[in-house]
Amino acid sequence: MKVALSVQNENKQSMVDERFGRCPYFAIAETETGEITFVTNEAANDNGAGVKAARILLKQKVEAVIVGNIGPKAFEVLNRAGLTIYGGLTGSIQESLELLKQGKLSQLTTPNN
Amino acid sequence: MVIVVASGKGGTGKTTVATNLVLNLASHRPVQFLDLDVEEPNAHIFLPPGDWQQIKVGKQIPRVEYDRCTFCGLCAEVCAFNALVVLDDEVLLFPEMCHSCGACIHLCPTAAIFEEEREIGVVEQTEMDNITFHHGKLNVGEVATPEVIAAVKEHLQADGITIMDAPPGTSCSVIESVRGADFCLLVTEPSPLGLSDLKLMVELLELLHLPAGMVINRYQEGLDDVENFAREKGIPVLARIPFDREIAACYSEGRPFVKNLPEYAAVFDDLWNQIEGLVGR
Repeated sequence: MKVALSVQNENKQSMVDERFGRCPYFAIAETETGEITFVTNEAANDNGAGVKAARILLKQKVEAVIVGNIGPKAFEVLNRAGLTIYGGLTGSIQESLELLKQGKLSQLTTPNN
Repeated sequence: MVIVVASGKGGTGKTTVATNLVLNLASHRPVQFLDLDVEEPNAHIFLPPGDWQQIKVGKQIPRVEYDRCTFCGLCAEVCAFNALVVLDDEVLLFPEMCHSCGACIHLCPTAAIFEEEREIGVVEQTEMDNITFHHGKLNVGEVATPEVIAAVKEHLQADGITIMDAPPGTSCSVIESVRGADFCLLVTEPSPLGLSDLKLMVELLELLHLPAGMVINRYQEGLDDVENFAREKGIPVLARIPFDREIAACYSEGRPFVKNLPEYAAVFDDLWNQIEGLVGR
């Protein structure tokens, strides 16, 4: 599964960033292979950052997103596009992916910010 | 003659000065009064009640005709405000983000987008004892404040005296409010915060080349920073309203103090004479 996480830096040791729309980078992880790539969040300083950030992830064809905080507009875009939205983003990229693997992250059904 | 009352900082007494100035003027002659604080209009509380008429305010937003749409995504790409998202079989619109620029409509390759009106607020008007009053109300959840302010200002009289009460701050809504006025009456208070925001407001007026005069509210002797700044900038101080418990008591009961504390009528008479002198010059 291709899953996106909002993160602070463009490297595999990076800590996550709990802000969805205004995080500097997204890590895109392939859970089967463990491969991780990064995309710059060009929406970070925009008006309507959440909506634009969601569009960036749609272009990356991710199937799921792990978020800390996500607002109503970004949530609606991801939800309507059929992505699975997990809450509970925490610590480093690896810690968050491990929690996902262990089934410890719950799916968000409403925005939380 | 159009006079706008503004401050930079909130809570300095804009509405207090504006309503008392209007009521004092209206005891001699007709005056138009516009409350432009459409996010929190409150001037009407201090005026005698009248019968209200309502005029709806709308803005243009896009509507997608799905039988023409190819979901190419261009509309979302050209939207500078991120109001549109194109999915595989659906176009999501966030109408409150839309700035009605029309780019999506003009650039859609299959002409699948049309304009439709969305209600964002209301202008209300009433008449009472020599006062023609208008204010605007922005609907809860909407953000297009300047549009509703512009809708109130469409009712500006061609002649006579108009007093406009601006919202606090120095952002888009204040620029929309002060634009086109002949004179700005700055209401400030002698506090560090009052001075800090006053400086921003004066900077804005300089950019707009709008002449100004100042009212110091809650005036106390010895607190001179605001007065020194006014002198430095060449802005005349036209009135000093003392830090008076009686005024606060009137305010908290929604009573205009110029009507309840007769000694202040002369202060507002004098204030108006000075404004007329400065604008006429």
